[in-house]
Amino acid sequence: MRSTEPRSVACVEDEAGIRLVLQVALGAVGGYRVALYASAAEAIEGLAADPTDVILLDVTMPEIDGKTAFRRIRELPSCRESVVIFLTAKARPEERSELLALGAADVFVKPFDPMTLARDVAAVWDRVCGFTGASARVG
Amino acid sequence: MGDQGDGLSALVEELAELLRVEGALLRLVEPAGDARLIGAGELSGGLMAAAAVAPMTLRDQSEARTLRQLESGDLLRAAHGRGDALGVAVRSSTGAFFGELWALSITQRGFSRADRRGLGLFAAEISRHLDRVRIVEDDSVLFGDSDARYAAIVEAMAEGVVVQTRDGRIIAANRAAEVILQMSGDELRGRTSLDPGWRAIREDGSPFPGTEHPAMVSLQTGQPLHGIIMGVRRGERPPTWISINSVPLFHHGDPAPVGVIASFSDITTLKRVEEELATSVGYFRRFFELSVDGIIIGHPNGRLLDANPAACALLRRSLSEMRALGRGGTVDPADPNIRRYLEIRAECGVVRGPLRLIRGDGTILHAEHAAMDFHVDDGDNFTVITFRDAEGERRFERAKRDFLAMVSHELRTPLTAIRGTLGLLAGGVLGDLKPEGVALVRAATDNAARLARLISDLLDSSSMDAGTFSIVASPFSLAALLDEVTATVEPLLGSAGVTLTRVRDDDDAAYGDRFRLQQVLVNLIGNAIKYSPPGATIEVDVHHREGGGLRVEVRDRGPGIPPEDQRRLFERFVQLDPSDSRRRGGAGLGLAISKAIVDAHGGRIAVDTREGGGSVFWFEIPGPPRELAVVE
Repeated sequence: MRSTEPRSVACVEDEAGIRLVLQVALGAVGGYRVALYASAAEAIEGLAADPTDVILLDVTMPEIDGKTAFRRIRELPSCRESVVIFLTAKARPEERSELLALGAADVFVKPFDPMTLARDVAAVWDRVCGFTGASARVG
Repeated sequence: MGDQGDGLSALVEELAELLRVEGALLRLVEPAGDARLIGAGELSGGLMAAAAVAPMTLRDQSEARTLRQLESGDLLRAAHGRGDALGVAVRSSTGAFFGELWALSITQRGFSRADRRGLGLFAAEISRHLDRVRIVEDDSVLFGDSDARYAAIVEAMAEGVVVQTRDGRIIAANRAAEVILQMSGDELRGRTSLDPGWRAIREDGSPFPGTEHPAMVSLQTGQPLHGIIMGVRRGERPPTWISINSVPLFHHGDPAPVGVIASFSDITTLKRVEEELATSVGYFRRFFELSVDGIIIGHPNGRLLDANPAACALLRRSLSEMRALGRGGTVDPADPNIRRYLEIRAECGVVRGPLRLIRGDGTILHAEHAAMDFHVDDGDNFTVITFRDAEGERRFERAKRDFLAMVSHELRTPLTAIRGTLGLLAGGVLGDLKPEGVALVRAATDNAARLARLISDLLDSSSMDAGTFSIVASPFSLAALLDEVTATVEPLLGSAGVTLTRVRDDDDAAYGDRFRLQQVLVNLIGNAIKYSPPGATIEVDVHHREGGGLRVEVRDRGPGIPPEDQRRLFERFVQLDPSDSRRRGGAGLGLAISKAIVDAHGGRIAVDTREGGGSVFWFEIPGPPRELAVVE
C-alpha cells in the first residue's frame, strides 16, 4: 500500500528543541505531514490510530527507550510497513549495526543537517521501497 | 739403601770368587758427586783399610785419577806392596757413567781374555741392577718424606699456614699466609694470636677475642677446629675474611700440645658474593611479601613452590591450601584461553592476558595475569605467575564507557537543536537574513559542526584506550562515499577559498567500514584545507589495488612536514607546532583516529613530502576477505 513517495513522518523525540527543528526541517523544508511525539508511549498510542509512512525514532529516551519502542511499534498492525529510521547521538559502529539488526531502515546521527534531512529520509524510502525519483521532490 | 748395597755386595763377591782373584771393588759415583766403594774378597779388608787410610783420596779425586791409580796398581801397592788390577766401566742402559768395577790381584798372575769377558758380564749385571734402583730413587726424589719436601709443599699452597708454639707464638708462616694477612714473614714471626697486629672480628662485627682464636683453643683443648670464620682488619681497610682450621701438634707421649698448625683461606670474595646474594634474596623476598599483585612460583614437577600473601588474599586460600592444590590447581579449567596460553608459553616462554582463577570459596576471580617460564641449571622449567584482580578494572572501564556515552549523548542533544536551528536559519527557511546575519549563522554552524566532530573524536579516542575500537566492514559504493565526503567538506572549502579535485578509476566497488573511511577522508581533507593557502587546489586520488583494496591519496600545497615529524604525526594529541593549535583548531586526535581506523582495516597510513612543496597523505586498505570475494 506504499505510495511512490512518503507523505507523512512521525518524529519520536523527547527533547523539545530537537522536535521543533524536526518539525521545520521535515514540514516546512520537506513538505511532509509531520506528527510529533514527546515519548515512546505517546507515539505507540498515536501511531496506532494515525500511522505514518516514515517514523524517526530517537534511541535514548526515558522510560521506554527507542529499541523497545521500535519493537512495540512494529507490533502495531497499522505500522507494519512503516519505514523506521533511528536517530541517535551515539555513533559507535557496533550500535549502528545493532540498530540495523533490529530491522531499522537506517540510522541517522545527531547532530544532523536540517536542510538535507527530508532528502535523506526520501533516499531511505527510495532504497527500502524500490521506487526512484522520490528524492527529486525536495532536491 | 740396604737392598742396593746387599745386592751389589753379593755380585762383587761372586765376581771375586769366579775370577779367583784376591779382591774385587765396585766404585760408584753418586748423583751428588760422592764416590761409594763396595769391596769383596780376601783383599777387601785391606783394600777397605786402604780406602780408610786415604778416604779423602778416593772420595774426592776425579774419576780419571782413580782409574789411573788403580790401573797402575798404586792403591794395591800402597796396601799390599804389589798387585795387578783389571777394570771396566759400569754404565747405565742409557750410557750414563755409574762408576767402575775392578778385579784386583796381588799374586801377579796376570788377567786372561776370559777374565775380561767375565768382568764385562758382571759390569752389565751391575748396570741392570743399578738401572732398577735409580728409577725407584728418582721417584723418591719427588715423593720422599723429607722435611724439605714438606716445606716446599707448604710453601706452594694457596692456603695460609702458620706454625705456632705452645705459647701461641708464630714461628713459621708460608708465603700465602703473608699475602692473606698482608704482613711479611718477619712481621708475623713472634706475634701471637693474643697480640696479632690486626683486629679480629666475628661475622656480626663484634670483636673476636684472641683467647678464642682456633689456634689458642686447639692448644688449650688439644682438639682440632675447622671452618672458624674470622675477619682480619688492619687500619681502616675493609676486613679480610678467613676460614681457619687448627690442628694441635704433639710429641710422643706428651698429652699436652707442643704447638699448633693453623691453616686458613681467604674467603673475602666468597663472603661478599654471599652477602650480595643474601641482600638480593632479601630484596626480592620483601618485594614478594609486599607486592599487591599475587605471585605464585610453580615447580616443574607440578608442585606449588610458593605463593605470596597477596596471592593467598586474592584467592582466599591459605598457603598450605594453595600448596596442596599444586601449581595449576587454582586455575579455572573452563577458562577457554588456557590451551592457547600454554601454547604461547611453550613457544615464547612468557604470556599475559585475562585468566580465570577459582577462589577458596568457589567463586571465580577474573584476573589479569602474566606467566613466565624460567630454566634452572638442570633444565627444569619453573614458572612465575603474577596476577591481579581485573574485575575492578573491568568495572571501571565499563563505567568509563557508559559515562562517556552518556556525556556524548548529553552534549550532542543540545548540539542537535543548536545545529538544526542554525541550519534552518542559514537555509532561509524562516525568511531571508541580512548579509551579516548569514555570516554569523554560518560561523555558528561551522562551530557547532566542529564541536560535534570534537565530541566524536574524544569518544573514538576513549575507545582506542579501552581497546574496543572496531570497524564494521561491508561492500559499499565508492562514488557515494566520495559524494558524501565532498558534501561534508564543501563548507570548509568555501570559507578557506580552496578547490578540491577528485580522481578515481572506473571501478565503483569498495570494501570496508564506509562511515569510518568517510571519517578518515574528511579528516585528511580537513587537514589539507586547514594548511592550504587560499587559492590552492587539493587533489584526492582514489585507485583500486590488487585484490579489491584501495589506495587513497590526499595531496596538498601546504607547508609540508619535516621527515623527522612524519611518524609522530599519527600519535594522539600531537600538533607539530603547539603555538599552531589555536590558529588551526583541533585536539590533535584526527590523524591518530584515522590511523586507528586504517589499522583496524589491516591497512597502513602515512605521509610523504610532495615534490614541489606540500604533503601527500595516503592510506591503503586491503580488499574483502577471500571467502567473501568468492561469495560475491
